[in-house]
Amino acid sequence: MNLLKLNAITKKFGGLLALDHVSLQVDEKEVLGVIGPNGSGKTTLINVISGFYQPDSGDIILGDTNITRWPAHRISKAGIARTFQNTRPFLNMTIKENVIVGALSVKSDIKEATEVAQKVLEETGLQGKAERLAKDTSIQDRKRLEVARALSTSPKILLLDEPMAGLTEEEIRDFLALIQRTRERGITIILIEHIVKAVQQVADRITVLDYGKKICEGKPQEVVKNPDVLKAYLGEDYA
Amino acid sequence: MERRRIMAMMVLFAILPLLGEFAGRQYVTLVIMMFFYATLASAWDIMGGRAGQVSLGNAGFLAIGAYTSTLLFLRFGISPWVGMFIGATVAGLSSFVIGLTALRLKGVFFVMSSLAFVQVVQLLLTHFVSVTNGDIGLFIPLTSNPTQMQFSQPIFYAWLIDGILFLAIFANYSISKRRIGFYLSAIREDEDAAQALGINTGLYKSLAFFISAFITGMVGAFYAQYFLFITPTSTATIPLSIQIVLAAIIGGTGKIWGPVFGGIVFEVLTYFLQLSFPTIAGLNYTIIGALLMLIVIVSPQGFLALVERMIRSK
Repeated sequence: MNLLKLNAITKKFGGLLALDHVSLQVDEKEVLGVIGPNGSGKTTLINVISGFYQPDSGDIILGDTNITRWPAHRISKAGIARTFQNTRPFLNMTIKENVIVGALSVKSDIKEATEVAQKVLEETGLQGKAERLAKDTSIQDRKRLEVARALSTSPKILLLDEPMAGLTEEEIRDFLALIQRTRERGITIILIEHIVKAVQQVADRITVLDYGKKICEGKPQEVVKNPDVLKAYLGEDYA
Repeated sequence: MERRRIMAMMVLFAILPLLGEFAGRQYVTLVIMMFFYATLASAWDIMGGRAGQVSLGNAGFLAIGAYTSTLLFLRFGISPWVGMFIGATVAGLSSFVIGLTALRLKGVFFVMSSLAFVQVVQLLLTHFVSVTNGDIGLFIPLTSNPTQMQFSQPIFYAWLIDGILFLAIFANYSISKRRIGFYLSAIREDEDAAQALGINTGLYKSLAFFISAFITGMVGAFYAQYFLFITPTSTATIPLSIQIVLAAIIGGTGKIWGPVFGGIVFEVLTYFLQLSFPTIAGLNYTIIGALLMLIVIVSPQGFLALVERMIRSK
C-alpha cells in the first residue's frame, strides 16, 4: 500500500521550474533513494513534502489524507519528519534538550519526553554526548542529531536531506548502518543523497531527478545503468 | 532547588522595603522603582529572552494597562484591584494586534513593528481627548483607600509591585519547567527547525507575547496608582521601552534571575547617577550605555552570569 503519494507536483521559483510534474509513491517500510545532480530539485522536493514550500500544483497524499498546503508543523504531527541538509541544531541547547523538543510532540510530559529522548540518543549513538551543547559538537554528531531529533517525533516517514554530505568513508558506513536500523523499526525513508554509491546500498528503489523532472525510477542496479541517468550525471559523451 | 531560591528571594524582597524604617522614604522609593524595572524586564524576557523575539513595544502594554484601569476607575468607579486585571487582559489582547502582522515577520521586522506599536498607542491616547484627556493626562484623586489600591504608607506599594514581580518570576519559572519552555527556546534558536518538529511556532510566540504583555499591563495599573497621574508621554514612550530591554540585557536574558537582577542594577545606577550628578542631564544614559557595551563585550550572557562565574572561580 502506498504510504505517501505525490501527484504531479510542480513548484516554480519565478521563471525557474524547480519541480516539473513530479509524481512518486513510497510504500510502507520502503527506502526510496532520490538522486540527481546539483540543482535538480532534490531539496525542493523535501521542502514541498514537509510543508516548507507550497507546491504551485499537484497533490500530496499521506495514507488517505490530502496534506497538500498543510503548514510544516502540522505535517510533522501527521508523521512526516525531516532533517536539514545544512544541519540546524538548536545551538545553545544540549544534544539531549534538542531531542527532547522533538519528543515533546508525542509526549507532553517532560519526564516521559526525556525517556523517549534517551532511547533515541542510544539508538543514534549520541548518548555519551547528551549533555554537550549542540554548538560544541562535530559535523558528524550534528548529522546524527538531525536524525535523532527527527526520530524523536516518532514519524511514519523520515525525509533525509543529504545526511551523508561531508562525512568520511567510515562515517558514511556508520550512517548507513543507522539508516538500516531505522528501517528495521518500521519507518519509511526517503533518502536524498548526492553520493550514489551510498544510496545504492540501502535503497529499495531509486528515483532520479534532473532539472526538476523525474527522468528514471527503478531498482538501484538498473537505475545506475540507465543512459538518461548517466547523461545527467556525466554529460552527453559518457552516455 | 530553584523553588527554594524563589522562596528565599521572595522573603528577601519582602523584607527589603522594611529597612525603610531606618533608611527613610527615599530608600523605599528606590526599592519600589527597582522592583518596577525588575518586573518589566522579567515580563519582557518571556518573549524577548526565552522566545528570542525582541519587543520594543512593551511600554505600549504598560500604557494600555495604566489607562484601562484608570479610566475604569474614573468613569465607572471600578476598583483598580479589578481594573488591574482587566487592564492586563486588554494589554495582553493588544499583543495580538502586533502578533497578527508582526509575528509573521521575523527578526528586525518584528522589532520595528513593536516599536511602531508604542508610537501608535501614544498617538491614540493623545488623539482621543474626550476619552483620555489627551496630552494633559489623567489625575487620580487621592483617597488613601486600600480598597481603591491607594496606601498612605509607601511600603504597601513596594509590596504590591513585589507581588507582581513574583508573578513574573513564577511565570518564567513555570514556563521553564514545561513544554512551552522547551518550545520557546527552540523557536529562539531556529524557528524553521522548530516547525519541522511539529511546533506551531506562531501559536507559542503569541502565547508568550500575551503572558509578557499581561504582566506588563498589570505593572501599568500599578504605575498609575503609584503616581496617581498618567500621560501618553509618561507611559507609551520609546525610551521606557528601551529601558526595559536594556535592563534585561544588562542582567542577562533567557534566565529567571538575569532580568530581575538587571532591573535592580539599572534602577540603582540611574538613581545614584542622578543623585551624584543632578546637573548633568543625560549623564545616566551615557554611563548606562557604556555599561551595556561593556557587558556585551565582557559577558554577553549578562551581568549575573559574570557574577556567577566570578563566584565559581574563587
